Amino acid sequence: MTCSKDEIMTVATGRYIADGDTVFIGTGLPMVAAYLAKATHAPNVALMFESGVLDPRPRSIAKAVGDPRLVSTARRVSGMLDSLLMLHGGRVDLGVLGCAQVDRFGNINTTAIGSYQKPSTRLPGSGGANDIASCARQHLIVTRHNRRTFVETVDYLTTPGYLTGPGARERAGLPGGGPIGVVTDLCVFGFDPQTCEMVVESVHPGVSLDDVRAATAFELTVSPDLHETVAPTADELDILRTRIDPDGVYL
Amino acid sequence: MPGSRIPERLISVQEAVSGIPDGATVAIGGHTLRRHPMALVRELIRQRKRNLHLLGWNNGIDFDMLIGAGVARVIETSYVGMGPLGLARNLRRGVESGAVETIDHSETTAIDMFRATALGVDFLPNRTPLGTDLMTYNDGLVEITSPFTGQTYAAVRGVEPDFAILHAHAADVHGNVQLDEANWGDNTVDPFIGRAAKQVIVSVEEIVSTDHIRSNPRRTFLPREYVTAVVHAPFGAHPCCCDARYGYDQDELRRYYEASRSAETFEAYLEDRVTSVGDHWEYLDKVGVAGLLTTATRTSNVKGAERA
Repeated sequence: MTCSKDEIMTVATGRYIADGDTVFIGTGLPMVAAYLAKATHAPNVALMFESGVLDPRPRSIAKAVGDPRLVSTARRVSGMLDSLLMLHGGRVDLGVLGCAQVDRFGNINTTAIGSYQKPSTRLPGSGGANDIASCARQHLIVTRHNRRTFVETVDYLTTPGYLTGPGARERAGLPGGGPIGVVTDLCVFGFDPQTCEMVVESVHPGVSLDDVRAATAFELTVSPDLHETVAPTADELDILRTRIDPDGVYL
Repeated sequence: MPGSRIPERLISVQEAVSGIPDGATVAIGGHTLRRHPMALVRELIRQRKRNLHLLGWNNGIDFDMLIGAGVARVIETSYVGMGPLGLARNLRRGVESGAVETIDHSETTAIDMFRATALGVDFLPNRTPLGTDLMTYNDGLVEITSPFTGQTYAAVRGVEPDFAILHAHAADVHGNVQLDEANWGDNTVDPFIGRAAKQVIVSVEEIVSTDHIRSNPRRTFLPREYVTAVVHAPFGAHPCCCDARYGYDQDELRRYYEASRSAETFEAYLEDRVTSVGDHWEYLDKVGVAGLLTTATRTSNVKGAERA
C-alpha cells in the first residue's frame, strides 16, 4: 500500500513510543503519532500536554493542546507550571521536538539563523523545547530533511542534544538522557552510544543513501545494520486515515 | 465604599498607562495568543511609549505589536511567535535590523526569574539552560555549584519589573483579582509575574463587589496586597482568547498577521486599529458588537498548526 511522507514519518515516530511511558507531546504530527501508538502497540501510554492535561483518553484527535475534549477524560488536569514541574522532577519518559537546525550531536537551534545579535532570520526561541530536551529521560527529534536543517554546526544552541559528545551532558549538569533518534521524511537516525553522533539506521522505501547524503550538510555516518524503514502496515494506515485523522487535518 | 480605609484602585486605562515612563521594565502576562492585556498594550502604543524593556515567559502578539510600534527596545522571554499563524514578523524585523535586543530563556528560566522575586530571593537554581547558548548570551543565567551536593546549576537572576500588566476575568475596586474556575489552563504563571513587579496593573473583563470576591475566594489569584491599579476593559484581551469568556478572533488575528508582512502595511494597521482610535471603548465600537459576540460564542481554535 502506498503512503505519504507524513504517514511514514508518523508511523516511524509512533514506534519510539513504548507502552506504559509518560510522553510529553505537542500538537501536529507527533500528536497523531502518539495517538497511533496508543491505538496499536502502546495502549497504556500516558500522553501529557504542556497545558497541564495528563493522560487523556480521547475518542478523536484534539484540535489543540488546550482542546476541552482532552480534559473530561484525563487522569489529572493542572496547569502549565505543573506540567513543567513534572519534567523537572524527572517524571517524563519521552519528549518529541521539531527544529530549524540540528547538528550531528542532536543539538537544536530554534532561536536565530546567522549571528545571535543581528541574525539573518530571527526565530521564536526555545519555548518549552529546551526544558523538554534538558529534563525528559529521552527525547526524539522529528523534522523535514534538507541541508539548511541538518548542519555542521548550529548557529545558536537553543536545545541540548549531546552538546560536544560523550559525557558532555553529564559534565554540563543536564538531568535528562538526550536524544534517542531523529525521524525525517527520508530516513531514521539513531545515535551511536560511543560517539553520541547521529547514525542512519534506516532509509524510507524509495529513498537511497545518496538522497540522504545530498540533504545533509555534515558527513553521514551509516549503521552497519542499515535497512529499509518498515513501511506502515495496512492496519496502521487504516487507523490513521479512518479513525485518528479522517479529515486530513495533520497529515 | 464610604468610610472604608481600604483604598480604591479602579482607574481608567489611560491613567494607568500614563504612569509608565519611557525606559521602564514592563512584564506582560498571558501566553502566546492567550489572555494578554491587549487593551493596555494598545494604550502603550497610543501614548507613544519608547525604549521599554519587556519581560514575559511565552509571548506572541503582545510583544510583536509593541515591537512593530517602536515601543520596545529590549525583550526578555523564552518565545515570541504567532502560534499556529507562524513567525512573529515585527519581532523578525526588529531583531534582524538591530533595533531590538533579545535576552533569551528556556520556558522555565523565564518563569523562574519571576518566581525568585515572588519567593523573596534574588535567584533560583535551574538545570535547563546548562551547556547551551542560552547561558552564553544571557548574563541573568550564571553557572553555580550546589553547596550540598556539588551539582552544577544555572542561577536564574530574579527580576523586579517596574510594572506588570495582566489581564484577568474579574476584580473588585480594591484590586482583588480573580480568574474563573472554568479557566483550567495556564493560570499558574501570571500570579508569579504579579508577585514580582513593583507595580501591578490588571485589566479585567468585569468589576465585581468585594462580597462577590468573598463568595468565591478560591478564584482569587492576586489579592489586593499585590495590585496597584485595576482597569475595566471588557474584551481587553481581544483579539487573543480569554479562556472560557471568549475565543480567538480568527479574522482579526489573520488581518494582523497579513498586515505585519511589511513595516508599511503594519503602520496602516496600527493607524486603523490603535492610533486613530481614542480609547478602548472606541476600539470595541470599531470591532463591533457582532464581531465581539462572534468571538465569544464560536469555538476557540485558530485554524492552522494549532499550536496555541
